[in-house]
Amino acid sequence: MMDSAATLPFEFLHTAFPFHLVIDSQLRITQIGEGMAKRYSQMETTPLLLENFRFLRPRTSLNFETLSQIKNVVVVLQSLHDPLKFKGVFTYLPEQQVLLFLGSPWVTSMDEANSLGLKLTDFPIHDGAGDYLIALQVHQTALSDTRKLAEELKEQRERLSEANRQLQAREAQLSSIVTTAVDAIIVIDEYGIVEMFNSAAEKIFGYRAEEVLGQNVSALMPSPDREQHDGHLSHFTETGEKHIIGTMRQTYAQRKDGTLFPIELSVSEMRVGGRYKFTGIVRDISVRLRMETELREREQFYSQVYHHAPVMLHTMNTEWVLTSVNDYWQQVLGYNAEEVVGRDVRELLTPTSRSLAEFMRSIYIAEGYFENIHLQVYKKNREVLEILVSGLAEYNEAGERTGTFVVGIDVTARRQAERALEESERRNRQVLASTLDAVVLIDAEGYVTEWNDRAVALFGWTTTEIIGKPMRDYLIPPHFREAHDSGLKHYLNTGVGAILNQRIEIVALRKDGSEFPIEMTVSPIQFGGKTFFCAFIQDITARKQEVEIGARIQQTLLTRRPPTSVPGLQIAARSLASQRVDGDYFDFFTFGKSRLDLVVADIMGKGIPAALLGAGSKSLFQRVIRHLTHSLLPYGCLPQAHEIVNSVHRLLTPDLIALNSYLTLCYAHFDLEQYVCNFVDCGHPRMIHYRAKTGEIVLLNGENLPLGFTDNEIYVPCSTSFAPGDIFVFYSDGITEALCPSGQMLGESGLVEMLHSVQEWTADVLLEHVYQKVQEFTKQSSVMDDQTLVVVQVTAERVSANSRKAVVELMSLVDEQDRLLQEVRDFCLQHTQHQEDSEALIKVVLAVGEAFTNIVEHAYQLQPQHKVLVELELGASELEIRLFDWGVPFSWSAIEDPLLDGSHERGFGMHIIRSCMDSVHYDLDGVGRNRLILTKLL
Amino acid sequence: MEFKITQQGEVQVVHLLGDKLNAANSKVFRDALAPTFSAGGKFVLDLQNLGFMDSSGIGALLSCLRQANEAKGDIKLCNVQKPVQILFQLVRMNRVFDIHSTVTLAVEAYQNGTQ
Repeated sequence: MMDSAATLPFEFLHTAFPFHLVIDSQLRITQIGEGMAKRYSQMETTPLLLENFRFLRPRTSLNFETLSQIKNVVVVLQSLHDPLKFKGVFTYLPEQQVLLFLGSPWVTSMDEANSLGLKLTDFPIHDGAGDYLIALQVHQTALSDTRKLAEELKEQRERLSEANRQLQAREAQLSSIVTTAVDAIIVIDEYGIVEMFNSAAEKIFGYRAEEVLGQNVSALMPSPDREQHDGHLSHFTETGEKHIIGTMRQTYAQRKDGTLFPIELSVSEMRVGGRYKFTGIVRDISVRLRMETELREREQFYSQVYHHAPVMLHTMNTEWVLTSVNDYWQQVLGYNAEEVVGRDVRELLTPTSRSLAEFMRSIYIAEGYFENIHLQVYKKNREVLEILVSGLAEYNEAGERTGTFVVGIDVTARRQAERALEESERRNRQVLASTLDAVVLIDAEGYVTEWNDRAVALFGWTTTEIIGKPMRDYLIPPHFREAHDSGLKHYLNTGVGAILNQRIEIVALRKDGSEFPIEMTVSPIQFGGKTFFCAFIQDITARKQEVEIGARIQQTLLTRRPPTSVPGLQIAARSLASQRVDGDYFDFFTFGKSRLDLVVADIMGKGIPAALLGAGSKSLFQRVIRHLTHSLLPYGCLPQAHEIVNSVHRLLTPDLIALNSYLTLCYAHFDLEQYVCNFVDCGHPRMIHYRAKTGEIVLLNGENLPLGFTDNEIYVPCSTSFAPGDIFVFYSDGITEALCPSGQMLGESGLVEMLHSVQEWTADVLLEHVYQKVQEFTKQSSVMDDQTLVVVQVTAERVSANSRKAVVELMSLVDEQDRLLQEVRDFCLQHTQHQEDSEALIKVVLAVGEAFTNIVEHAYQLQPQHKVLVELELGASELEIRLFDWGVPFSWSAIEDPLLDGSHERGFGMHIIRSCMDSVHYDLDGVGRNRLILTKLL
Repeated sequence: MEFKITQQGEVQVVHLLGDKLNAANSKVFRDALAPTFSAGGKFVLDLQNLGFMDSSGIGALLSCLRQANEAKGDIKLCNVQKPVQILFQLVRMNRVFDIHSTVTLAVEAYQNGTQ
């Protein structure tokens, strides 16, 4: 016999079972648990059990006798003081002759408990003595149900978002996502009567618990299950043969509204007091089934994608052992899945890529993914494939990494293209490095840290010889080192560098000790928190070539020998090209015998660009003059100086503005009939006019802007008269800005002074005189800036004021010959002593007739729409007839004298012309016309 | 270039009516008279009215002469004006053509020559 007091003292029961009751044989309550005592203080005064509780189950009132015999039967007591129900069991304690009721409040949800003023702490702490404390079990179920609901909802949300993140874990996760957390729990007795119907069940079936409790559970089933259910139950209770118990099955259930829905049902049985209870857990799987279908389809899709996608896909485990490869992977690399699955993926990589993969692995372990890693993979045939791989870790449901899903893209072609590009860039860099600048990098302390090939070539030091060496001792000539040191120090102290970021010309030192001129740009660069100086160095001795080219341009394109055939003028001109070529030029244009035009110009800027711009503007003058002359001739006049300059300005200035350049010039027109010089000065140094009669020297200038300053300028002419013996001097600023060794500039006044000392006032003498004087002044043999000088001397010989001129313009038609010849006859009869039948006149007419026919037939090849221009001019002692055409030039020298024996019917023309005239001259004139000059002495 | 042909005995006298023979009309002249000269015979060209001739005219005359000669005929010139004379001297036409001062003298020259 056990000592009950020792084994289970009633005091212990107070705390362990707060809702217990001890009832004596008179059905009086002799002891109550603390929880009970708190709620029902009235039990002190009304101790009879039935004054405080009534039996809900069993529905009959039981006496002490019966109660002491119903072991393990759940009894539900309804408090008579409040709505609280207590579920528990009565146990008969024979020693004390008392009944012990161990129970607890019967609530199915926390809400219910709360409304009854119960807290969780009101419930007993127990060790889960299952059979013994069924009531508590019921409580626990209800409570955990609630908790589980909340937890599962939370979990569901988490998993949903997790599912989105993890493609790989999709299957396991999705199946758990579709797990409807809210399971219905239905407890029935062995007759199928519903004893418990939780809130989830209410939701799922659409019934409220009150409607179902006490009813047969078959009401929740559709036919034929409904009809068969009772039979299954009785079959089980009679035979113990399980139909669905202990398994999970999918079937259909019926809602209150009659609709059927798929469920997953698991049933477990328990025996309580010799009777069976069945707990059914019902899960609404309609959502899940739908999702499962979708999932299946999606999986099929993914599987197809996985295998057929034109990207390489593989999975590998955490040890980087391949676990699957897709079809494309196999296709690209030439392996079968069986050959590679189970192998370490690193075996497939080239040694370089293997080490990269090792490196990447450590990052991957930390990050869970890797992206766009370039790897080289061996194909089965040992060819190397370039792939770009990205990987994502796969996780199991527990959140542990199980492997990696890897996507690979074949970028062999792309990489090859990139390599080619890189290669070409590298080559470009090499070309740049080897042909252009030497690049030298120097640290703040002046030590060489970078030295390119060009630097090797330039200085003679190899990279190994120079790296780490102090630049100043190796590259700077000794006499410049001090200046370098102070400059560097100044920069480091103040941040101001006199030579930085600009092109400077200095002298450098070669390994062999020789010095050479360089042009250098030094830029400070910050790298890794330190200052470096990057020098781009160019050997400018090579520029001599450029100077040569420039000089050639100047000689051929920019300057023209002055014409010697202008009666009444002596012209001398020269341009000394400086070492730095610039755009000085001059040009002459003759119009008959009584007009000479000249232009002297200076392009802003130096070098070949300026020279080319000069050549361009020079040819533009020629073009403009030719066009204007041609278009004005029908009106019997020639273009004026300002008309020419304005035309050139209109055409050239937009280009000059675009090129950010400009042009100073002086355009002068010498009229040898009127003895007037009309000139247009465009910002050029002032022209000098020496008046022979008075010996004075006058400086002449206009007020026009240089060409290229503005579109809006209209150039206006000035004019001055002159007399025989006068001299005009045009020059470029290279003359007036010449410097003497002390730095003084020659200037206008210096030039004028030089002129005064000339021995003889003639063009040639003056020119030589000025150059010699300028050279004496500068004491340098080389010229710093282009020195251009044009001297125009008006000789005493004046063109006859009686000179007569006529111009005939003709179409290129043989019929026009008649009219031309009549003009010639008329001109001669009017201005000469000749009679109509004088031999000289007849011969002139014959010659002009032949010359015209030649032009029509040969230069224009009988095309009728062209123009022939004939100038007739009578000088003091000669008649000059000039025929102009724009046709095919005539090869004069190819013409031989014809045989004059009657055997040839053609080829007499040239012979006739030569025979008839005193002189015949054929050339291309200054404005591009074929010119035939026929002269007959009077 | 208009012309008129008169017959003096067996000699055909071709009178040039235009005042010039040059690049503008020499081809027309040549083409017009080609049948006449090609038929052969004795011809006299009367250049009385011709005040100007150029090298194309010379070419035309030489062409006519060649045609006549090919048909065993001949051409004599007469009444050559000064401008044309000068031209003829320049290109030595006097060596190629038999030149007379008048039509009569030219016709007589044929008669003398054939007798």
